[in-house]
Amino acid sequence: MTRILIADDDTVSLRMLQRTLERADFTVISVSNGAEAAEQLCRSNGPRLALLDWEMPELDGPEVCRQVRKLRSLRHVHLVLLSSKGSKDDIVEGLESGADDYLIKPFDAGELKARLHTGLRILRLEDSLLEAREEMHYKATHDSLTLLLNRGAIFEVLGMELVRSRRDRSCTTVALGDLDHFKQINDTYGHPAGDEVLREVGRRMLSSVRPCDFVGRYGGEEFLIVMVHSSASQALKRAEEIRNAICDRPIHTPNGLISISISIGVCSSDSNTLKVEEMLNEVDRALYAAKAAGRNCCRLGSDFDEAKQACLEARSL
Amino acid sequence: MHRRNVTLWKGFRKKRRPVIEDSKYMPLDQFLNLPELLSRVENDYELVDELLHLFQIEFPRFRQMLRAELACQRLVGVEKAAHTLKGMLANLSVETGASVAAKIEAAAHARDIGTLTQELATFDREADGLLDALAVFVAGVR
Repeated sequence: MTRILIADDDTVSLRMLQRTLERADFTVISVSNGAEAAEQLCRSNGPRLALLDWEMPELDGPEVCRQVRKLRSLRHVHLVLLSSKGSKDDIVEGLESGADDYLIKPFDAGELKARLHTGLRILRLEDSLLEAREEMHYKATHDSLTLLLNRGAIFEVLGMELVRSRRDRSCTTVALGDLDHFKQINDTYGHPAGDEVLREVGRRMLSSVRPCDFVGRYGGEEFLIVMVHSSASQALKRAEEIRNAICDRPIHTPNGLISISISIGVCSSDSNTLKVEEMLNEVDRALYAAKAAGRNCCRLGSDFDEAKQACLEARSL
Repeated sequence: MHRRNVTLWKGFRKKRRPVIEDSKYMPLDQFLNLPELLSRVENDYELVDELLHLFQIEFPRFRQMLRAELACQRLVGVEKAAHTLKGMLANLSVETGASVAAKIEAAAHARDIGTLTQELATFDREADGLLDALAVFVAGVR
């Protein structure tokens, strides 16, 4: 049932409205002053339909409309002024204060319900537009195969976390994981099986990081993890746990069980001076170091000159 | 709570006058357009009965407020109280009463004390007659 707020300091009018609306299957919240109406309507979970009298104690109807329009911006609230002020000037003033509709007392039950149903149609239309916008935003920021954050979104998260960690003087760490010999999986078992492996790796990664961490698909069979408030040594330990979670049991695919392993490079912003591109270069080198060290292992970037060297060697091959 | 009056209201509607005969008071239908009221509340007799009970409590309160504002020469307050009374009366299809309250509201807005005083006297006559007729009607069922 749709919730509706009615505000009127006249008890007779309030009761009449309440009964009429309850008969029309609305759940009615009655208040007798404007301040209480504004407070209820500005709540994030407040009613989205309201019938407001003009003259009320504390705040009048138009002022309630102005407050609601100013404070509650996320979801539209359909506001109807119901007043015995019936001049053209009053109607214009009421609508310009932010009301969506204006009804003159004494109201006719049929007209009132018809106008509220019009309001409901507008709210439903808004809901469907917001839903479509959210869906588009999700598609624009998530990888359609693994449902993890996509490359653009995880870069954005990394950028924001680096700014935040500089401000908080904390540490942000990234881990770049690459599935070992993934091309062979595609070649041997087929792409549907390869896709299932990527999906399952995404799920295992998500379930093995903290709720505050972020996981994204960097590209192909590479995954980027952003770990907030995490030092290099803590991150390396976590990377090991993630690697174990991914490798500890084979993955069920349409073409049978497939065992996989992953190499992970880790890089920390301990010095708080690294930019996104520099961190990505650094973690890329650490990943190559892990590959060069025989795969299925984790390596920390920046601290290991040997790793850097191995990376350079691997790239020159 | 108010169910006992419903039968009486139904009779009132049929005859377009109160069941109670009392020569001292004007009949209620001289003040209140019940067919219109019933039509607006979708023939909910119980609701009409409840609204009239509420009216008996609320109307004197706002009327007193109107008088107090006038006594203090607060014309904005007079305008507001008259506005509320106008809405309350119009809701109950008390047409003449609502119309006089509207005149008081307009006179207070225009700061026209002469008209205000004159309309207030008319309003008092209407209000007293309405409350008496209502009291007689309600008492009749006891």
